[in-house]
Amino acid sequence: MDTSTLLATLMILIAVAYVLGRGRSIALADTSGRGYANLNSLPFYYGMLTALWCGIPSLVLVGAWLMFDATIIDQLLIQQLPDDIRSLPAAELGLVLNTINNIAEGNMVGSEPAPYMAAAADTLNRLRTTSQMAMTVAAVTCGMLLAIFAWIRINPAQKARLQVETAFKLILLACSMIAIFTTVGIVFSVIFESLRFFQSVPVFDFLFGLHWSPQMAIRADQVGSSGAFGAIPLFAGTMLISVIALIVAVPTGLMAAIYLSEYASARVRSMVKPLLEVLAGIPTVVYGFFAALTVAPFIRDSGAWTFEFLGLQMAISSESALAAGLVMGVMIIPFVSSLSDDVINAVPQSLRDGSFGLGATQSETIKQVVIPAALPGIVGGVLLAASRAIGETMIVVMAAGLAANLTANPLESVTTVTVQIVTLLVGDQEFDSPKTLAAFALGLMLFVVTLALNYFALHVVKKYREQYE
Amino acid sequence: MEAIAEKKTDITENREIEVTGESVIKDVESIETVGLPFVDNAKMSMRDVNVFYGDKQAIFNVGLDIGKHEVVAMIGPSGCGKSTFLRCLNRMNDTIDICRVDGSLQLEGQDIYDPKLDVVPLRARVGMVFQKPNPFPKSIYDNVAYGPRVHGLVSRRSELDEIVETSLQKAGLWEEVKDRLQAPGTGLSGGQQQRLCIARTIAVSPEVILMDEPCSALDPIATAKIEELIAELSENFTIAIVTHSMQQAARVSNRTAYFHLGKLIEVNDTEKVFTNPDHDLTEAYITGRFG
Repeated sequence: MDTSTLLATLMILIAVAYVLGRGRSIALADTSGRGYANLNSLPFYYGMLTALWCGIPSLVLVGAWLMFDATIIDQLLIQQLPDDIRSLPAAELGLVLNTINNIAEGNMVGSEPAPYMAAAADTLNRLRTTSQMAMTVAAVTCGMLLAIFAWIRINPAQKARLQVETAFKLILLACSMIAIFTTVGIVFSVIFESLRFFQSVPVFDFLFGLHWSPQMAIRADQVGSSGAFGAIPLFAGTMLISVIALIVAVPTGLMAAIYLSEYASARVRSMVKPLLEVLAGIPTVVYGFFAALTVAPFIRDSGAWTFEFLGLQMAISSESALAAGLVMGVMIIPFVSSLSDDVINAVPQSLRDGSFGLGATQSETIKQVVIPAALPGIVGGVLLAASRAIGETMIVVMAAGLAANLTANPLESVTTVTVQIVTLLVGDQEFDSPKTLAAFALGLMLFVVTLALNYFALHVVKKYREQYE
Repeated sequence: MEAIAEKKTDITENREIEVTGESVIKDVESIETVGLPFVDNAKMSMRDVNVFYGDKQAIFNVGLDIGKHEVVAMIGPSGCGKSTFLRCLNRMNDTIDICRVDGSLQLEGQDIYDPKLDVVPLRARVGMVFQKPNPFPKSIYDNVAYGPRVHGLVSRRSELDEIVETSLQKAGLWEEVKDRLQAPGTGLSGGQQQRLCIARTIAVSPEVILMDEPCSALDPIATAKIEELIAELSENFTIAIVTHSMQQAARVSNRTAYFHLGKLIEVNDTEKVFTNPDHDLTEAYITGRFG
């Protein structure tokens, strides 16, 4: 039985367990009076309990089996290979296993396989079939036995409701653990790869180097054999583009939010707000086209025209930080406006009334009462937008270029941390070269910067909140 | 009128009298306000005021004067329109889109609903204290200084300091906060916050102060302080106060107006309203048979 059929079987088994468990509790119930007088819990809970006993262990078993059977089968296979093959280094042994795998699946292999390989492929197929069968038998038996066990245990005094409640609590806990462990795992994998990178490139050179040129020679006699891994130009580029984006997005978004929450009629609001939020739903790749095909050429042409008008001899790159920053700013307007709109709406009407009651005009009220009261939320929204801007990749790839220039001129092309990570990892890469490992170091830096930004944001928000509430 | 008298005899429960009251008012097209709604030296005078929220009429033909340096209390069951009426007096209802006000409302002879009139100076002349203390999220000093700053009443810091101090003194809060004027106003206790709001209102030297249930969120001690304050303020200001507490109305006001379902039933000297009201509905309300 293949895995999907097995899962379907288990589902049916679980449903049957539910029906049987529920049925047994009803059969045991005293229905002479009103309701199920003697049952501790509703029949639903007895059914659920039986289903959980049937389902959880068998599903966990299947999961564990699928996770580990490949490794175990490989080990068994290696045991059966000839001695000279078994003593090969790990990388070459891996190639042999790969070839055997291909033969076993009936794929074409380049040359005529060695006889031991054909034999091994047969063994592999046999082992797989056995493993699949064993898994089916084990899972179904486990489910059935435990369901029967739970079914027998059902009695009116059993606290089924509490037990189901506990089981659900544990399931929820397990789900939250998955998220936590994934995060921890990502952090550790990034840290370990970064440490490998820092073995070949000094930390100081990476953090404070002013030159970024991640080329590593494969052979000693190659040209450009020494790469330069100074991250400063990348972070400067990221900052430049993010700052341009925030200069566009913060005033626009904030004022849009003020208009929507304070001035707009309900009808205008109900139309404009969803439209503005559509901006947030546009994929960043599409913003990327827009930046590369419309905004960047426009900036180049209008800039060239201006310089010509002024009689200056200056060329403008068709990829510029300005184009990327402007478009990224448009992209994060909805973040700023939507979050600000929410916090401005949350400012109690009584504060506005108090200000109006003293004879303040609407704009005085907004400037001096509403915005200060909403400030923590607005700061939070802006920082969220900033972290979006820092992490944004596609727009920059398309509009700002790949040249790691250390410049504050928004008309030049720059590159960002995320773009470099992408270019370092795209395509076939060797994972022991500093060129590739640099991506992890950059990722780690980006992670640290974003974490610091978030921490700072929380701190600011908390400080204001203490003051105002 | 006879209808009420007849029906009142066979009423024993509170709820029934309310029902009876409604039915009586629906029967009679327009109820004449009994008592003394008008005075000679009126600061504000309202005539034939009707207020609508969309299609629903909230206030019916109300006519009332508020005399100079007088405290007028407005009482009545919830939803009777007393707060709505109060909020008309400095056009606070302008902030509600669907609200429409008809009739004549005058402040010293000037029509306050004149479309050409600027509400900003009006609200400086007719200040308002709200039900829930609503200090701004600013320091105590800035809360009080807000109005004078907005209206440009001061040109020097020392003048502003003086206004802040005198306003806080008049509101009876100076002694408690003089050492922490830069502390946030929201950190004060409820009663202190409400006195801060009163200080904030009197800092712009209004002529009339409207108070919309100013003590409903306060404990009895804080309430007593505010009531004392109202008595002192009435020497310099004209005050209209909406309250749910009849004892409070009796303690602080010169005249009391009783509202019922959007109509002004009776206006009389406070003592008369609480001892010998002219109208049966008023009597039913103040003796606690409904409301």
